Amino acid sequence: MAIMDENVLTLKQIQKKLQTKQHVLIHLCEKGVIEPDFQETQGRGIHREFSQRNLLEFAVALTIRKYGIPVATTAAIVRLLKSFERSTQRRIKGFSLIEYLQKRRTNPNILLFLYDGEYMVFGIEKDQKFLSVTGFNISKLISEPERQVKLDHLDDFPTSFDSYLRIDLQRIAQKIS
Amino acid sequence: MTKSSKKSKEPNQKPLSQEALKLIGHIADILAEEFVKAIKKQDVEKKEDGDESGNIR
Repeated sequence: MAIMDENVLTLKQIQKKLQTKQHVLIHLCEKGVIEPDFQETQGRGIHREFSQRNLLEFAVALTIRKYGIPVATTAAIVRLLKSFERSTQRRIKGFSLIEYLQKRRTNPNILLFLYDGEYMVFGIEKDQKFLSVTGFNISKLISEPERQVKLDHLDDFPTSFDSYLRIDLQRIAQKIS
Repeated sequence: MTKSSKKSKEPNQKPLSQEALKLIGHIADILAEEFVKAIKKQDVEKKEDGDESGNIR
């Protein structure tokens, strides 16, 4: 008997949830921004299915895409979230980033900031107060990873940039719940 | 059928090098540590607030 797993999503379901076009989602897969958690090659084609984490990754990638950020930067941000979830799971058993962001409205939020498209700040915020602000040069990480990128524990947000993109993970996750 | 693993990888273009992925993993680990500290601190504070407001444990 076939068992339906509601945590596995088809491309169509993702498309419906995110109100976007299928080819945009496929493009993100083909560019390597999103790696479907369930995927198999069928003849010449590829059958992709997605996890809830993939859903959040798509939502974040689509948000970033609006601002013309390069694919490699988007992929690095998506990958950072994936690795972050895995690292957190080693400390909190069963941790799911999307569930955390969707269910725990009163708990610390995670905000990402991208300054001038090159410097990334990861902020943990609660009641409009930042508990932790950490930054690193994401452009250098992509182009010169062999030159160990320095992680900056910041007392405040950087002021030496002209502009920034703010990505509110809780807001994005709650929009797709 | 319950799907639980990736069966094969398509020949995607890889936007990130192996070194970059490794570095991202290292950074993510530090961020996760900070995050867990923050949420644990939050849980302790919540508990203390509950105690101060006279809630029965």
